[in-house]
Amino acid sequence: MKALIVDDERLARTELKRLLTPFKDLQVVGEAVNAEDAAEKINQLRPDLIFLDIQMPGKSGFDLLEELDSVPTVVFTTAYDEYALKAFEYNALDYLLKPIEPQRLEDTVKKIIEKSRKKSAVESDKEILAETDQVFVKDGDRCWFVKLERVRLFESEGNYVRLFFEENKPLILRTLNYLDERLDSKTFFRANRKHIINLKWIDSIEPWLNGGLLVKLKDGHKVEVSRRQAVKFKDMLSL
Amino acid sequence: MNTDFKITQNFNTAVKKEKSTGKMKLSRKKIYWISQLTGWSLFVLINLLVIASFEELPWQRILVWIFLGATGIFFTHLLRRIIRKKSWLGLPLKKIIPRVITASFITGIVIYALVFAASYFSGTMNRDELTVGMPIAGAINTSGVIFLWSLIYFAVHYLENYKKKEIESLIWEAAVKDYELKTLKSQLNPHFMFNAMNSIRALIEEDREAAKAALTKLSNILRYSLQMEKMESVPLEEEMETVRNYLDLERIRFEDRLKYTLYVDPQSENIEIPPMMIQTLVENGIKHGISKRTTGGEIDVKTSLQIANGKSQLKIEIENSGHLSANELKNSSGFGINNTKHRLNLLYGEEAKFSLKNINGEKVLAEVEIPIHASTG
Repeated sequence: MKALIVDDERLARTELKRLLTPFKDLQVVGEAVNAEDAAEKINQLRPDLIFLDIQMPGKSGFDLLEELDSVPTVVFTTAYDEYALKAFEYNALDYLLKPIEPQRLEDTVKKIIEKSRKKSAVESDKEILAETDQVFVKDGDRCWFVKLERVRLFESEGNYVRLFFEENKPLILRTLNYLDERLDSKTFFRANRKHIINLKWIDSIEPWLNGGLLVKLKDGHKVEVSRRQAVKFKDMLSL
Repeated sequence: MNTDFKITQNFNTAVKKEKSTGKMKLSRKKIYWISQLTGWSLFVLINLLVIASFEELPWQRILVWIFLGATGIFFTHLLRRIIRKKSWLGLPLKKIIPRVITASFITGIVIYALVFAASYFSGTMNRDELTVGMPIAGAINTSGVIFLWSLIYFAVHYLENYKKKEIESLIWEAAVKDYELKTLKSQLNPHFMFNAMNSIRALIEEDREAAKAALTKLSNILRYSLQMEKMESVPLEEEMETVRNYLDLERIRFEDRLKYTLYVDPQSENIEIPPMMIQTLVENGIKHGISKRTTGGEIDVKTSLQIANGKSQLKIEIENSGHLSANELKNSSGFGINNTKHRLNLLYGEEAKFSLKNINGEKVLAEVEIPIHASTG
């Protein structure tokens, strides 16, 4: 398993690297000193895991995550960020408090390696966002790591896209066209100019005006499939 | 919420103190009985003196008057019990007036009826001269006296309440100010503490001597900040020593991304300043200035003496690399700035000044001016 350490402090990186040496399954493939450096190294080294400091010069750890299309497993390392960590849904997060307790680190690393073993069987193409990939979403004071399979609907709002998952509907800074290219077409379907739907969340389909279709999602949302897309849609489902 | 609670607590203890000092004086009960006895005795005595100057005063009549005084005390005491039991003092004036008038009238009639009976049967009254108007006039007269009694009773309580409220609001104000000063005394930023400890742990492997020195500095800062919680002011020199320790520790973290210079005017070394004030501003400079820049930066602290409007002042300048947006400058609550301003205001009023501004878009300058008082200078 490949890991990247992102921290602006040399000593903090050194200390974490030293603490990680006993874990043979984990290989520290690089270190980044700020968010920009990290973005580059993530693209280049494709780590499975990043240890991420939240407060860094320039962009913060959160800013970095927002820019990434697909977010690797993240372990936050922070000295004292009660406030920042509270923003997360409780179970969605691994974090280590500096100075890092070796026992705590061991538990965290073991858990992550365990998880990745189960997952690695379905290793997907890196260019396409599969339903098991997760994205980082920040909306005001709240943050989530969202597995794409949990997202029912993507709705275009100018340069932003609104995600619908559980009872949340935060915005992310991406265009719908961009997502359409990146999302796995086996699961996600472009219904019309404004919407991408998750096929696994479809409840019912009925004919609509002009040869289009009206898709009802399990949460009650109704989305129109344009005539042009309806042809594609029927093709796909008949397969 | 927490704040309110604490203030209320301080306030309660303050009020308790006030109450316990009240006990040292005469108890309220005693004052009441002394007033009752002297009031009614004077009333009877004056009446007797006036009567005696006009006509002959047989001893039976004196007894009737003393009896009047006694019933007066008894029934007004009864009236007081009703007033207290029904808590008339808490009622609005509109409701009190009709109640007091009615009560006075009833009490007056009862007292007069008893006195009338006493004088009738004791033979002090000339039964031949008795007219219908006489008892009516007597009853109204007595009611007037009781009404006067009630008036005094209520007036005393209103005055007392007013005074108590005034004292309470003063105590409250003092408690709030005291509490504000306590909370405004800045504490060490925990983020800094834990980062420093993390750096020190890494240093133990890398450079043991440096790790030892860093640990000593960290203890010094911690000790200083704990001691300062109890103090109103501290010599400038001591505060600057802590700032130096602090910056040295931050240098371990930031390495060559942080440079600093400190200059203390030798004449200003012993001037008393609010503890942790410079420290907080330096921490802010690092947190919102230098730590945001990938290339790091510089922080300079300079103190000097100056004379403004004929008064000598201490001037502290903290300049750091960085830039605050207009919004950040305006909305500086997150920068410990409001905190500093408020604290200076509580300690020195209008005499202290604080300002924060951008310089050439490259640097941020925080300036503090504190009056030097003869006693501390």
